[in-house]
Amino acid sequence: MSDILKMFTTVIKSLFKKSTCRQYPFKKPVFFDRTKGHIQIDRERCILCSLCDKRCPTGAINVDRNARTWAINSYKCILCFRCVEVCPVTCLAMQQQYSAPEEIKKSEVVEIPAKAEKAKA
Amino acid sequence: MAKRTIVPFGPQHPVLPEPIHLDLVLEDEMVVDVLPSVGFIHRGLELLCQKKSFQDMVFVAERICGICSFIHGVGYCQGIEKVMNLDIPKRAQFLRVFWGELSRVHSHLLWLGLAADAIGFESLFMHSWRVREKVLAIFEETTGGRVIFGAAKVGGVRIDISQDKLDQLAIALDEIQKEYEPLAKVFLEDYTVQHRWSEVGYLSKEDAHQLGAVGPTARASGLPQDMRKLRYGAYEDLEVEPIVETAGDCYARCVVRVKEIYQSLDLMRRVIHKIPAGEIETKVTGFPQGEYFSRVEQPRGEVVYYVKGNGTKFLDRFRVRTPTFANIPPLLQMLKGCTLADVPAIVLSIDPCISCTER
Repeated sequence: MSDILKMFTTVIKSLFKKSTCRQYPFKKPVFFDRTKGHIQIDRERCILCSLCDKRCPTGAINVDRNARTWAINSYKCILCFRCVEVCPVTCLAMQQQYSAPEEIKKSEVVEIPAKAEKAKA
Repeated sequence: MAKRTIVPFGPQHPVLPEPIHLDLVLEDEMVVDVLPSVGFIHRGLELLCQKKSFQDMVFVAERICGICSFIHGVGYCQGIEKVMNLDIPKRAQFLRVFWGELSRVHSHLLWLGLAADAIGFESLFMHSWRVREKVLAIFEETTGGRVIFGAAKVGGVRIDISQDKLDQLAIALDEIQKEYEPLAKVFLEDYTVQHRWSEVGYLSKEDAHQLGAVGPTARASGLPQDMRKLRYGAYEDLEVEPIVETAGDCYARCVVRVKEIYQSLDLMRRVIHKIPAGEIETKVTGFPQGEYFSRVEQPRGEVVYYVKGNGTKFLDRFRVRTPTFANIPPLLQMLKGCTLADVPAIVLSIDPCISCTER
């Protein structure tokens, strides 16, 4: 009989312990420093060098120098930190909050202001 | 002679998280022959090496499997590093062992949970996964990912763990062990578990050797086979003795995994104690030219990576032989002579990972 009751103590103990699961809507998740959420760009500092575009292993980032746009498809992005590592002006950063769900899968396009505009600002 | 009937098992079955199909040839309740068929989730990852640069392929290699992802990445990197004659810093090698062993703990806890669920021991399943959750939290804290870490790279690792953090992790590992101990006791001593698995799915030592069993399946049949004994990477400085059981049944395979969790926790403590300071990566210049077979030990057994470079940034060929693929012939041997009701328990006992197998 005692052989069957091996699990009993663990089960009884867990009845009096507080819940192991986080009660989500009431208790928000705690992010770690390295939590992979989404990539964010500081548009003022970007120099449109397109290194992130070239190095992205999944081709999620698209840089258009003529149109002065930087676009990321968060559905293709695998959050590998590659673009953050290669950016020469460190304008890319990993944010800890996960990207929000969308109805249509599309790229998020960011317009990069020209140098003159940056100077004005 | 009883009339023979063929009963299909899978690709969709409650004990199978992934699809494999077995045609069971039955005589009454007894399985006399098994015909396996795989190929439901082939993704063609191996051919991608001709389209992705050898450095980007690490991300693809990691995605071969969702459970032992890090070790897949390390195995691939190790192959490329040998081809390119790169010298990897000691700290990077120790960090690879740390995450690799933590993956083993996570994989074995996952299996123990699934196995408990398969025998109808629901509470044991939930408590196993409660402990596993703490392991996943360590992954997220140190690498940023819970499943796919992206921590391995050709030439070293991409992320360092500070000494303060390592000291904290040592305490966390002790906590995990403390919580795991009562569960291990249930797996090792409980009547229900023993009654379900003892003398089910027997595989003799000779059969295990001849049919090429690997990992816990081979070790449970008395074969002391462990690729960590090849002393690749930081295992050069860390002595590992394979855990061997001789019974060769499903219960022995469970016991091997239960004990390997203790072994891995102990290895991680030794890594934290011994890890040297210094660089975590070497600079990679040039492209791989030549070929190499890299063999590493995964939670499920030996995995073989073949890489062949041609001096450009794309590889010629990349081939993976995963442990589940090697364990399918021994599985068919185990199934012969068992009853239909034992089939789910035996299939689960080799820890099948079909996504790995089909790549």
